[in-house]
Amino acid sequence: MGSEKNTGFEIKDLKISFKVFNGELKVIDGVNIKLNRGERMGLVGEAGCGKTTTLKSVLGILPKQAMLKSGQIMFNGEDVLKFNSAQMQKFRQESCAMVFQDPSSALNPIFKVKDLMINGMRNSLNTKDKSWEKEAYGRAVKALGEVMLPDPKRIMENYPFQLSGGMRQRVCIAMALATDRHLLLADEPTTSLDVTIQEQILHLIHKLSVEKDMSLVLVTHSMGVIREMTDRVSIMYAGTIMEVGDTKDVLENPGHPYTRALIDCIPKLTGDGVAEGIPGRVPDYLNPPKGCRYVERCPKATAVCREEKPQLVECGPNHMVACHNFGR
Amino acid sequence: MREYVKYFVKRIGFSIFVLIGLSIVIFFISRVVPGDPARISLGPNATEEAVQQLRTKMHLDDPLLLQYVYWMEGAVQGDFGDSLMTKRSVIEDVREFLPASLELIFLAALIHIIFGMVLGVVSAKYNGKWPDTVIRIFSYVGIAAPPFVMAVLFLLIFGYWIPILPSIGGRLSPGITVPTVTGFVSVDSLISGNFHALSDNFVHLILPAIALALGNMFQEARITRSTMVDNSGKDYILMMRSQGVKNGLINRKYLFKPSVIPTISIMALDFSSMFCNAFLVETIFTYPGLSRYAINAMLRNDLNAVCAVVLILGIIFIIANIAVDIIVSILDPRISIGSGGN
Amino acid sequence: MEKKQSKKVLTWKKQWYRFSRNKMSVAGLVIVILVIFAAVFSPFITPYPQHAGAFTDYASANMAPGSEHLFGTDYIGRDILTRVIFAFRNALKMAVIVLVISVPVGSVLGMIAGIRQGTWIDTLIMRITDVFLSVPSMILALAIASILKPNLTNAMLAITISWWPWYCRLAYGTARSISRDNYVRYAELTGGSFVHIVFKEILPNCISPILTKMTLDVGWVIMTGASLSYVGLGEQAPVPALGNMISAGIKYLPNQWWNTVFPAIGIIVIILGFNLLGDGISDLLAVEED
Repeated sequence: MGSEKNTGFEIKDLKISFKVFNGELKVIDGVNIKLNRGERMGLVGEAGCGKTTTLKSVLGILPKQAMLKSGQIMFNGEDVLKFNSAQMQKFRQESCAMVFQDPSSALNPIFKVKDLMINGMRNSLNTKDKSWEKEAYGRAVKALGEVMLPDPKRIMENYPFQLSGGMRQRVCIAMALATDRHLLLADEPTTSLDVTIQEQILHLIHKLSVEKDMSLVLVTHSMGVIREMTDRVSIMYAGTIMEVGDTKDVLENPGHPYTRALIDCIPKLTGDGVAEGIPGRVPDYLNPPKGCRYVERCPKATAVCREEKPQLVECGPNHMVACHNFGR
Repeated sequence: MREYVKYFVKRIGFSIFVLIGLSIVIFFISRVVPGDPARISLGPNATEEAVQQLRTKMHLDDPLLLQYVYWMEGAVQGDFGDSLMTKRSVIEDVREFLPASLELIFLAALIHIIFGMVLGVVSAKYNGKWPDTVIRIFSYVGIAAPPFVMAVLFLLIFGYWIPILPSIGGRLSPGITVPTVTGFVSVDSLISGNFHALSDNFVHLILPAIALALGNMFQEARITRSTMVDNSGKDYILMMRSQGVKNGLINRKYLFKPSVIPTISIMALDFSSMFCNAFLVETIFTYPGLSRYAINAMLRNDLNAVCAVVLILGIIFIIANIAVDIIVSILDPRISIGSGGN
Repeated sequence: MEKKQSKKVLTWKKQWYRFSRNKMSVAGLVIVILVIFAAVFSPFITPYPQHAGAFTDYASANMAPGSEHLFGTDYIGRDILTRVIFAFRNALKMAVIVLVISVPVGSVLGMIAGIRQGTWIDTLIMRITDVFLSVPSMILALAIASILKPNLTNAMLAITISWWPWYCRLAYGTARSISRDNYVRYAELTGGSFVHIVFKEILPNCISPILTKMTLDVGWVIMTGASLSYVGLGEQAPVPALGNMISAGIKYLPNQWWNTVFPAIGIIVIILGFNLLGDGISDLLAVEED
């Protein structure tokens, strides 16, 4: 895949539903994400708006009830969703990796770190002769060093439950980065960790993605993290991308009422009182609004918002927004 | 690790306490029963002097508590008194019949563990497809059928209709003998190199063993299936899959091992339920084991034998429980090393 | 008000969907309804209700299954179908009585021990429970039944005695974990009486695991009862029970196979029905998955 270096990663009009007892949960309804090689993108949104589902669909690890309705996931000019199982395995082994939200559930509890790491890269290594295990061990130790874990050789002999939460997440990151990959999907990698550890882990992910020239999709709730770590940002609400653009631009000139509301939630140092939160809640996925999914909570909603789904339109250089009210 | 050893020492101490409790319960129930145990044991034709003699020997004229102390004193030394059925000391009977029961139950356990696991894994692998459906339907019926009913049906089918296996009788066909060393016929025939006896013994064991094993086997298949299906959606499996590890390796190792731990941890319970069911299955196949002995003792009000068998089974179950705990802790490092988060 | 009602209907609908999603649970429900119906109305729906007791008709003894006697007749001419249905009645009676006594006794003891954890009451109740659980319930039931006079009442008593400890341990576990919760502490501190705490605060939380176990236990009680009566420690002839019919019929194998095969199928069907239904209900009572 070496020659087409510049082609990046793009999700086009992804729609995914889940089958439940009285119908379909239309969870993902039009996700569009595009990022160039080496770019870092933030994916922001409330809990339960389909961020994890989006990431899992990239690696083909959705649960059985999930149904792909439409869309493409392009990587290096190929549609990941059309991969057969061998191609998908190759994609997972060589191109893309994911860091899960909760490191304690992402590491098999009854195996040593050594076992998990070595077998995790078993099929990713090019060495097919007998020395692969030795090479894998070497890479694992190196990767543990890269994620700033002291005494990697001792960590290798530990079971996951003998490590702290932060250490476990470092191990997960090391597993994702032990072999070279081009795209890293990080699903709220710090949510389940102590506040004091969160910063360190985020910086680590940032640093490694720069060093290794990887594209990064970072899912998070925090606008502060977005501002600090990403080049571009996508604002997601109820399975739809509401706004996308260069991070700085979006944060300074938000085009969508939802983005504005999210930014207003950040407590300010100026002492203007406590953040208010956004009134209302994520819509029912069983019978989502026909038009804009944000309509129930939007202060600017009009009749057209209820009837018609807004499309992403250019609203500035490299900045798109899906809102009927934009420009009016 | 030290915690772990401490835990087992505590377990054993606790077990001794439970056994004492069990002995109290079974002893007092057996003594409050109306009627004179000495009269019952000697039968209606015995002379009054003989009965009185036995009463003195059994300490029946002493207060109940003192009787218990005497009985316990004997029990600790392995003396549970004489059986009125066999006119021998109960412990001798146990020594003769227990190995036969254990032999049967070990074979049944082997069948149940191996096939239960295989069926469970197959079922999970083909989750929702026809092999899964077939196994599940068989499981429902297999679990619902009490082993003694299975035994009766087997007796009819393989004993009478298609008489390919011996359905009635002992541990060996008449005319075949092996010198008794351990009391386990299979082991004894191995020791004496008598392979004909070994296969003959196996043929005698197989029908009752299958009858005993089926219910537990299907239960195990169901549990293994459902834990495997549950675990296959866990993050640690998705993590491995997202890394591009081959499905075969994931299933064989990272899914299978955590999934069998719950199955193994209920094995002690399975073992004791097989002992229960052996009570009837041995009777149906007239297999000379401890369970059949116990049923006969119960039916003839042979109180010494009943108390002894219940207590001995209690000991066996406690040992089984501890053994299973040890096996589980070897498989699950969270237990043996001492868990951080769990 | 109206909205609330429709929500309730929706809940029922949802529960029914979740239950009926598994065809086997529905099959179980059908079997159980049929069995209960047959058992309750056995004197009216059986072809020869007088055959349920000490009836003899040597002229029609040992008849193979046919149009007159669907399941054949036994060695003294009684209709097997009739007797199997009456045996269902017995089995159900036994299961209901055993559970109705042992479940409340066990759960209340367990809850008391759980709330008073660390006190001598806890120690006393739970150590007794441990002793009873140290041997499998069927062995204990057999031993107790054998010491007592063999009849149905004593068999039920024996099973009950060996059954309550399971519920005691179950309720104990739940009660123990929630009695540390703040709302229970609050009830205690504000002077809630002990009875109030047990029934208003603790019981609602224990009810779901207890009900789950109960629905799954019906089959086991029937199985244990059948085993006891097979050995001769339960219901005595001439009253039909699933176990004693099989043990009486075993003498007539293999020629009069219907003596054993139909009661055997009867046992399998009744236990199967309750197991399937129990699985379905325990799925419903399990924590909502989605």
